[in-house]
Amino acid sequence: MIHVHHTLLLLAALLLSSASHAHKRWLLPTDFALSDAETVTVDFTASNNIFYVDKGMPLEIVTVTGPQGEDIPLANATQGDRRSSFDIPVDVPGTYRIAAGGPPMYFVSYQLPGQAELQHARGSLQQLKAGVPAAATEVKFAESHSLIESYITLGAQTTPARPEDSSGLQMRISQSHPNALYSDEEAQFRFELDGEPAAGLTVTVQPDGSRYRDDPLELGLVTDDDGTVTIEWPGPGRYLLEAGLEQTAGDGDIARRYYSYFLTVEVLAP
Amino acid sequence: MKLTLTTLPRLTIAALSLLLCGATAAADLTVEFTIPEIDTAEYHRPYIAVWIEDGQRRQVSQLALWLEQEKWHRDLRSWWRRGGSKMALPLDGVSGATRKPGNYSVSSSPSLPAGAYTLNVEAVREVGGREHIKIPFDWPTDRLLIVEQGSSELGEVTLTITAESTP
Repeated sequence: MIHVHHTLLLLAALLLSSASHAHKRWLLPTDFALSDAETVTVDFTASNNIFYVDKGMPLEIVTVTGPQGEDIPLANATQGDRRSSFDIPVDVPGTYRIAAGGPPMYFVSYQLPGQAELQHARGSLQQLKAGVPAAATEVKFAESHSLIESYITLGAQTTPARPEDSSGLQMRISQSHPNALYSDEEAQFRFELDGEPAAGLTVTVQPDGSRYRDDPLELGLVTDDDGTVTIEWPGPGRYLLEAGLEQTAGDGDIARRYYSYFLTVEVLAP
Repeated sequence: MKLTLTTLPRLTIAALSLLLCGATAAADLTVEFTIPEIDTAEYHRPYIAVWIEDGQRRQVSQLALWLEQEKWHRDLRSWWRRGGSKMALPLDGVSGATRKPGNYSVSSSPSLPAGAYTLNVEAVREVGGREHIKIPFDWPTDRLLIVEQGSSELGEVTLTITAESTP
């Protein structure tokens, strides 16, 4: 269990470095669209370069949902140092959803008398509240929501059911299906925050291969009033879509809320 | 008839003529194409799809689907995208095994509403390349002959439309 502990700490460290400066986290399947039943292997890692594996991510937060809404267990799951990976036997026609989310994570920061450095801790909100020393000042709690997704389709695309929990930052499949993207067609994805359209959200579109060029060639696009972003693909290839929000919360004990969302897609030549 | 040299700059129009007025939607359509000999260490016969799309790029008629393993069907990218992924195979009189290099001909008498259509011939070869030839045409027409030259995975592609022979 030391291993799990280690990776959760890593995840916390990646998140703690603030939503806007965290590593990119991504799920990368070997195949996005299939014409015959096949096992698909998925990498799960955090990195700065796209798609260059760097830090293996914890597999406990990964769920795979089949076309009929069934939970699919991860096969051959391996949590490595640089990458985690697992297999999905894709044998039912339709669209599979891979998601790494999990419950929100909580962080606290505070100042202790006589200590120059700000103190940090993470855990459940209850644990954190109980653990803050009585002498602490400037106690600030933060909540972090994170969702990392990818989709795989065997045969014709289907639209996966909306997750029951609409909290956090989520992408809704509406105009474009993430497994039917072509470089000669623009794509539209709709974003929602806690079930409401996420208008004015910046969505960064990052093409594969950033390690091998000077300019990462990221596109920064903004969602419209309906929370929809329209993407004109620079060309065929694999892309990471990233969106993040940081909110100062007025209510209760939480000073800040962070939301981050990542989606890996494949865009084909016409 | 809107087939002109300016609207079809990439096509070689070998012959194009309208013989009769009062065209009906019934005609014979023939596609001749060449699978070229390719001198390579590892040769596999290409997967071939021949189909017709309407003005909205919907597949309205399948003429030939020469395929093997389902795993590679998606590599006929255009065909797969525009309808192949939703199709139950095999199709009677259309599906078949892959063929060796040579000249082939497929025919059909499709019943299509009048309008603008595109003939599509797509070929993809394992450890090889892919080529997709599109020939726009108007339907119905009494007589039409369009030839286009492929450059890699396809040789010459000829579309011939003739009025249905009625005694």
